[in-house]
Amino acid sequence: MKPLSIQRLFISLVFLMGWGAVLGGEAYESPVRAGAFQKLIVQDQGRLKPLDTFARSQLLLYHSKSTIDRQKAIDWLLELMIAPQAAYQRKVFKVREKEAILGLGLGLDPESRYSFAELSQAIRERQESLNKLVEKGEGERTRAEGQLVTLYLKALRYLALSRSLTGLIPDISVSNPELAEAIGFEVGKGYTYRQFLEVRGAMATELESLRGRQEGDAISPKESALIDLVQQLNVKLADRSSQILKIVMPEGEQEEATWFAPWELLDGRQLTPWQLDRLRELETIVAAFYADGLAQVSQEVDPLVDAVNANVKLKGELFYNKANFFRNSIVFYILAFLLLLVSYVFTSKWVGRLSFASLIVGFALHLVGLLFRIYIMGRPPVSTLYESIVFVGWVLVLLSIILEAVRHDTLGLLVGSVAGTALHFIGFSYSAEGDTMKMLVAVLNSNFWLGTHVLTITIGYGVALTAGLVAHVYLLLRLIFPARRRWAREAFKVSYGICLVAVFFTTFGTILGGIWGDQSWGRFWGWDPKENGALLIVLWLLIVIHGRLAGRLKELGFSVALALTPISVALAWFGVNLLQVGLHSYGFDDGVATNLYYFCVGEAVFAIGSGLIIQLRTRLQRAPIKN
Amino acid sequence: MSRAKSKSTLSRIAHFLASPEVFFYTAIWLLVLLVVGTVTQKWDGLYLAQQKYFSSWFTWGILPGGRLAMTVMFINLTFKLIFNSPWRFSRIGTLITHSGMLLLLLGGFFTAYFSNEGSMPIPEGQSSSYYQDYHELEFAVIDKSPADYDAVTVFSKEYIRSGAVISHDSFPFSIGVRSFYRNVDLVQREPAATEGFHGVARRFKIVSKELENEFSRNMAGMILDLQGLDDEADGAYLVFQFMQVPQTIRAGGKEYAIELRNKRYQLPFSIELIDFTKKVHPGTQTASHYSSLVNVVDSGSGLKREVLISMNEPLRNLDYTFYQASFIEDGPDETTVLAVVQNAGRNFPYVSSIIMCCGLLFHLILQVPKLLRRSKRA
Repeated sequence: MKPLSIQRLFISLVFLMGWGAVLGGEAYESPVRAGAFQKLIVQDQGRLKPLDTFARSQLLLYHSKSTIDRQKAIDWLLELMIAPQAAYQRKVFKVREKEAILGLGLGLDPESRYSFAELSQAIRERQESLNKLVEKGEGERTRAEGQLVTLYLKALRYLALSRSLTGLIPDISVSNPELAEAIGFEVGKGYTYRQFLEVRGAMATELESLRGRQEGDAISPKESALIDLVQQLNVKLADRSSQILKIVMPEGEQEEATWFAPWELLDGRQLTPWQLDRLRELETIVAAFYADGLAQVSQEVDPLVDAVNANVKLKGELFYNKANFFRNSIVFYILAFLLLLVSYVFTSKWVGRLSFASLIVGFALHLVGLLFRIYIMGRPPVSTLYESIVFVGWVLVLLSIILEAVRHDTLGLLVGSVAGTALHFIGFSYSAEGDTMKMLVAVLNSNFWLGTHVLTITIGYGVALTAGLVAHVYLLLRLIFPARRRWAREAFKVSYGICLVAVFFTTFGTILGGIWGDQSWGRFWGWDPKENGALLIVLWLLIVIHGRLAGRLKELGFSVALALTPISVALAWFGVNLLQVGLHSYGFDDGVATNLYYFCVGEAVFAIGSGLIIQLRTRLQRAPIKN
Repeated sequence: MSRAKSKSTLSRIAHFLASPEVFFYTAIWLLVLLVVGTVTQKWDGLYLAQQKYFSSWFTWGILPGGRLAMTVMFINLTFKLIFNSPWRFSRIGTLITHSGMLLLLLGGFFTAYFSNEGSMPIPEGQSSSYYQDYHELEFAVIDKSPADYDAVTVFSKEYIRSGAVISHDSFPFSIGVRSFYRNVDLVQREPAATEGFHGVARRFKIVSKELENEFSRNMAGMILDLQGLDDEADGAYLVFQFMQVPQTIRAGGKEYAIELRNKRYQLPFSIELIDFTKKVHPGTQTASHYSSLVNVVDSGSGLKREVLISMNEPLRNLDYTFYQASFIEDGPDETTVLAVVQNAGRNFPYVSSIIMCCGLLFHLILQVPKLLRRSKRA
């Protein structure tokens, strides 16, 4: 009985860990409750999106994470735009480039986190030299200078973002009764810059009285208040270049036309009744948050926001953001892996089945996430690097589930849970670039070819990776269980089968790519890096198969070669992009290049090394028999 | 052993040429070329890398280039299909697949030897009846004296090298190529040369420089030695690619223009650009869509046909296909850039991909379930 109770304990532990990650996700402590605010729609990077998505991608840009101190991105954004002074103190900037921080004369933070207040203070002291650096050509800057400029521009952008709504915040008041009466405002009540623009006729009349005054002339209290007011308005006006937040809907064609930032419309132009209505709506929403010190005002704001919104598709995106399908899916993949280990340790069929069930649940969540993306973007889920990673992960798990359903010997479980987890993690690191739903350049903007060529070749990546992974299993089995040759032989057989499927998808995908090229710009094959990358995988798989057919590669040689396939996939998938971007670009791609390098070297060492060890061991075992 | 010996040498060679080993080693070599040829594009650009590694018979002196490797594959495949294809049901898939591959390689051969491609810029409201090669040059002598046409004599790339002599019955002077450079900078002469230099060469000289990564950005230049001109104008002349106003000379009482330009291919019809439109993703500079509305004008009858060429939707006329490739925006004036392709091998990939797809599917259905299933007794 004793082993059973330990078993139970282990399983419940695993479950606790898994569910903890699901349930304990989103708790946060914050005075800010953005609530309905997240539903507002903005135009950003060529498409309409909920403010929630915008906030996440903005926060990713500065903080490298889509939440900050357990606080939602949208709450951060709201605070930044309505109560910037408090927000400036938060350590939002995640800066890993030490040279840039030292270049600003700041001390290094152990967590590499800095507040805007710190940065702006340091920047102000070095304004001139920084401007000179910006003027310098990109090629002439040193690496450290490049990082410094990037940080400087980032800080400027942050400042502009924080000032997006200042024209609609009711924080200017008139204390002089005479002046207030002259322009038709209440004494002491807060008004917005936009509202002052409305009464600029009356203001101009008042200002007229100041004309011709000399230095030292007596000034009435009303006039003094007027001067004061004009100064306040001028300070506001300095924010007019803050035009990142395109939140004002244009009249008519909303998907195609360009939206406006509030400050764009506040440049003194004649507003159309439509524009005025939209600005007033926004103003009311902003006022609700401003008045209540950023507390929960959902009930007040909700109907307002709903009135502003009419776009159905974006609701799906809000749900997608909230549901976090891929994060939940990885929990189940990890759980499936842990359960599988348990089932190995206790040779329990029951736990093995549980592991399979967990893999299927993870897969289903993965699928729903993909379907949501297809629905939101209206295109196949394979058009950016991030999307392809998520999709390839899904293909791997799909194949593994089929494998497991056919064989029931946990091979599929092992491959699927490991691959699903690994690719999700890679995907998360790529989603740190910002909004993962990007618009495409003209040549890619074709659902037909995305749906045929790109989909096929991406499936090909997934299948080729699966074949490579099974070959890894083969090598591991032979290393760890040299006596169990039959296990290894089974893995070999499976890897050969999947390899054939991989040849189908990669070959067909590559040719379809050529046909797309022929259809779109008139040549089937042009030896450009992307095409060559795809050909690299095809050629490698063909070499492996024909080597086996020609008798040049035996079971072990075949498996070693097949275990090297992930290298060709990684080169075609990531390496080619590096070649195009340039190996010397700053920041992000440096990391990719290093990771790619370690991955390739690691894979090569593992495959060739284990091949050699197995070979050597077999020889040594055979030697005594000969004598 | 005795049976192998009894086979004739010829049959043994045929058998070797049909074996998968040939493919195995050739494919490994092609893989090496592929990796090297892709990585060097970073420094040499696509065109030069392609010329050196993929479109060449030999590379690095005596090592086989991509074209040779693919020819070997082609021979290997042909022999395999003739001598090494057992007609068994289980082999049908591979047989079909290999036939498809043979067709694909054949198409590649046709494309390599019987296709032309180039670009065709047309400003809005204007028309054009030729397209120009991206890389290849030609030298043209243009007799402007006939009233309603220009008599053009064109010399192909064999004449465009240092030391070549260009002459023809159609013009009364001879041209010696003093020097030719594939990429040059134009440098002003201070002060202008007087002795022996004529035309543009009096005020400018060319300085050779390294080739650009993007090959079509190179500007070729030549210094010419012209003999037999009127008015004692014999001497050194300068021509270079993309000259705004061509160099003109007088000989035998007639005026000629001499030009170094991208090789031109005449079309049996002309294309007139009516309107160019560009759409961007709202609020960005990223183009989401661009298209050209054109008239295809028949040279003989003058008949016009209106066609819209857009991204992924080319115009096909006779042997030619016109693609929306790019555009030039110069203030209010828009110029569309069409890519033009004439390719005898263009249908091969379509046919062969269908064949290969069927063959592979067949093979997969026959083989894969067997391989994935657990062996008995497991």
